[in-house]
Amino acid sequence: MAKSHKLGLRPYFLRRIRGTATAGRHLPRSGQDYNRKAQIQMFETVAVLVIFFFLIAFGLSFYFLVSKTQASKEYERTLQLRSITFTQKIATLPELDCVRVTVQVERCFDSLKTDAFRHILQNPGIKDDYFALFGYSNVTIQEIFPSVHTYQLYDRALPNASASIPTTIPILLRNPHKNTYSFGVLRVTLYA
Amino acid sequence: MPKKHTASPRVFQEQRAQMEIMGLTIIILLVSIGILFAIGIISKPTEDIKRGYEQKQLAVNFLTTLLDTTSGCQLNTFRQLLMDCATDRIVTCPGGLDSCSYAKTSFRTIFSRTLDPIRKGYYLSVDGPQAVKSITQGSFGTSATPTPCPGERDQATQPIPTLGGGTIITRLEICDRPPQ
Repeated sequence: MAKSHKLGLRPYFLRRIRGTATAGRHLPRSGQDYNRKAQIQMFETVAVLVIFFFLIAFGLSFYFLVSKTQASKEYERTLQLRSITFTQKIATLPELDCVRVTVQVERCFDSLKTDAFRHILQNPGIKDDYFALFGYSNVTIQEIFPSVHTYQLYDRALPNASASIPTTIPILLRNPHKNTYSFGVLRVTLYA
Repeated sequence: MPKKHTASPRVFQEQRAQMEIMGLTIIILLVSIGILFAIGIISKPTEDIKRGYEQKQLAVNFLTTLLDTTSGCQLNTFRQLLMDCATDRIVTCPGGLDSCSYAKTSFRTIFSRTLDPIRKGYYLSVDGPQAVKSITQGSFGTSATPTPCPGERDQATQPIPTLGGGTIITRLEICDRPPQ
């Protein structure tokens, strides 16, 4: 009894070698069987590790793909907001606006000021000075009714631009001599 | 020593296999849910801020600018022409046209030079006395019976008070034209 009790406390593999731990049960018969079993277990472990790393790689690639998509959407959104802000800034330029009793009239350009400003911007030095305001863009004012006339105010294209965002808003073109208002459109194209 | 009750090796192996399959199933479920989330995020369309702003502002600005434009008919604005059209129609415009016909023709010219080239549909409705209703026009339906914009549209409304105490309601709808 003491011997069997002592045997019961011994490590499992010793009891296996002596043949007492698994008496009466189905057993591998030789050392080769032990090796095979160990190899199978090693293979299982390696397979689990391979799948684990595969899952990690899969997850990481998805994460980077989602991040890239989010970043490009954010960039597009920023570009659109920039284009709206830029157009609103042009629409309220003091160099072009109509002023009635020192009050700026909304959505109105003075045709004489517009023509004069167009001539001024043809000077390369002054055009460079206005680069801080206009950047890479194209600003055109088109008179639609009653007569048709185009004022090309500013044009500086960005080489290899990846995007161009056009915005059109209707404006009034005031003729201060006759005090009449023509229907026009302000076309702004921002390059990015 | 009492013998401990233990499960037979075969049952134990079966239970272990079931647990492993359960584990694999859970992993597959988690990965599938993750993939679905990722596809949902990637395929979400970009919010078009510019288009929404431009279309809303276009309708409002267009109508206000249109009404404040000098018509070329005795230096009246279109707002004044509509008021004349709704009341006495005493203004005579170039070509012998009355204020209603001249306004209608001029509006059509403006729309053809601005909204048609950028493939925007429109519907301008003028509501009030019978005479001003004839100015209603649009790019859908026929020229005799224009119809409002189908589907999604942005609109602006401008009331114009007349001398007789009435009101002319002008409404402009702008929408995208369906591709041809």
